[in-house]
Amino acid sequence: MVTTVVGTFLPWLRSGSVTRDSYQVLALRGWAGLNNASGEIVRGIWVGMIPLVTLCVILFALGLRRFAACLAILFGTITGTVAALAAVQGGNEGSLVGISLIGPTVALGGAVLAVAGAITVLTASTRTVLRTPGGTP
Amino acid sequence: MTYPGGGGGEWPPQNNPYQQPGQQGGYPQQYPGQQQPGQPQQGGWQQNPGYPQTGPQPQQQNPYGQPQGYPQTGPQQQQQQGWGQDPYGQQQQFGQQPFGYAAGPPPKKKRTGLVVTSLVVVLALAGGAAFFVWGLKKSDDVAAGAPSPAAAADALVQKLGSGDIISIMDGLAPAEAKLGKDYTATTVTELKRLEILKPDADPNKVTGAEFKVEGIKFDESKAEQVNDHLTINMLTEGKLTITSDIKKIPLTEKLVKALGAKVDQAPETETIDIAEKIKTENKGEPFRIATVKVGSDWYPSVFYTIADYALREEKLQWPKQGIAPAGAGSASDAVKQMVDASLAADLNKVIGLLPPDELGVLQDVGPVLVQKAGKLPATGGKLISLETDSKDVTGGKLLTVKKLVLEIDGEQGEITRDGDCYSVKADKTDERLCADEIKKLVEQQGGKKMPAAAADVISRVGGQLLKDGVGVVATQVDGKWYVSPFRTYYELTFTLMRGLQPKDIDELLKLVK
Repeated sequence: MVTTVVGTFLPWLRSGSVTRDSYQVLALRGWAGLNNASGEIVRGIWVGMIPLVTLCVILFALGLRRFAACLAILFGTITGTVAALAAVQGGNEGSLVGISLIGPTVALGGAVLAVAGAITVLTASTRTVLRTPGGTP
Repeated sequence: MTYPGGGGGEWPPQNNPYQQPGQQGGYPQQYPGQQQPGQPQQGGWQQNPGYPQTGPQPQQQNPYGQPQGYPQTGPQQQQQQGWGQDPYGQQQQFGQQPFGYAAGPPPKKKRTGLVVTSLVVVLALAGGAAFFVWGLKKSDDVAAGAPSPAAAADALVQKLGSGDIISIMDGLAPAEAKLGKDYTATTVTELKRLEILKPDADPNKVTGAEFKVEGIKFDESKAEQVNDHLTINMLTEGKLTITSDIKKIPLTEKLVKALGAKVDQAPETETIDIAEKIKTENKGEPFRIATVKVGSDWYPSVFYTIADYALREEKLQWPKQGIAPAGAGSASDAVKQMVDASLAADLNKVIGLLPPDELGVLQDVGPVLVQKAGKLPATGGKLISLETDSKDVTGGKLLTVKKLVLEIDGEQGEITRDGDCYSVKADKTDERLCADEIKKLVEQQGGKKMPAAAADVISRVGGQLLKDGVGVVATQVDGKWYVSPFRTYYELTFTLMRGLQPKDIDELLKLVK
């Protein structure tokens, strides 16, 4: 999840020799004609991924791993989808404006790991719960 | 504070230095059907009494009346199970006296888990808050303007140098930038439909030209402050390198073939030494870039820069006072007032009815235009009535004529639209023209000499014009309505383009060949 957050701060958009991270891309919503409520919602969801990661880490540290895993799946799904869409659109080498691959790729990798880790935690927890009451000592 | 056990009990065993061999992770060993005398029967995974209980939590009392996990001093009653472990007694490991050892001072409570957890929570909160604030700040939709005219002009040149097309467009005066944004996508879509640009051409991925700037300098002492919202900046030094490569423009194959050798040429690079250019070609006059103040920020303006050069060409000065914008209460009123003012040749009124955001430049330069135009004779026409159909378009409303009644030299004329047919009644004339009659009319008027393809194009474009209707775009600025010539022009152009088909471009290319 930390990898994904780091990925969101890496270049996502290239315009000439200038690169922008995912948050700076969001700052262009006015330029893209999204300076309305929907633009603000999109921004809120995306920036809100950071507190979600924080919450996951805290829940995990407190031992509420299944809750943390569920939130991690939500986080991974949202960020992973956005990053995958951006990565698919990337690679316009010759153009003045294009998607930069590094940010979306790192974020996508982190999102996949987050989802995989969360699923592992969930399945491991389920196995423990099922086995312990009736299992052998 | 909750410890693992409530959520699945996954704490690692290394946190339990007193763990009995064969006991997993400090779990109480309790088996179905086995109940410790005097203790409530509980699932073994639900409690973890062997860990230090930190933080506020419900006090769990063992049957001996002592909170679990606290040091147990004094004689303890032990219940031996068949396998030698009492799940409760054995799990009270901290401070519990091992069998066979003499009672001594209670060992210190282990707080490693608590410290690590607290550290992780604090770090997560601090890091999360820092990244959240950073992300929030970065994603703020900030104005692209600059605090001073010189900074605005400098920013434009620097952005040009970095090739940051987004910042260049975003950094222009807001109304100018919006005009560009509003119509770029539609233009590219139409060009793709007409197979001029490749289907994958993206309006945001402009290719074909590259700029590089070095050592740009503005002479702030020479800057001309025309009024409180317009300053002309003087560009005196620097180098601008432009590399153009037509191959990078996403033209379709057929267009590339039609253009032939022109597309095969290598990229062209031209370096402009601004200081040299000023000396040799500009009679020592620096290059001028106009900046306007919108709100509290300054922006470079293409329209004001063009107007400034036009005034200098005519050896005229910017007027000290412009024409005040005078919008109407509704879109249709704005159009009526514009028709009235045009018929009366009232240039002041016409300029006042232009949008102050898009064409504030004409209002600023207006008095000079009025003076240059002199006294214009009235047309003699008078608007009797105007009925319009309204349709929302990008940036405003498109008002198409439904019924227009004019009086010219005492005689009334009427234009009425009915579906895709227009009727004209004037004096003794009463004519009607519909979209599907255009082709016949063109063939009659053009005769046999007109190529069939040309007649076809004209009839289709004309037909499209009658179907969509000829209209004017009105925009709203600060609650008032104005007539926008730019948006009207674009809408008319798109109406005409929509009448074209890819095969028309093929015919045009054949003519070019």
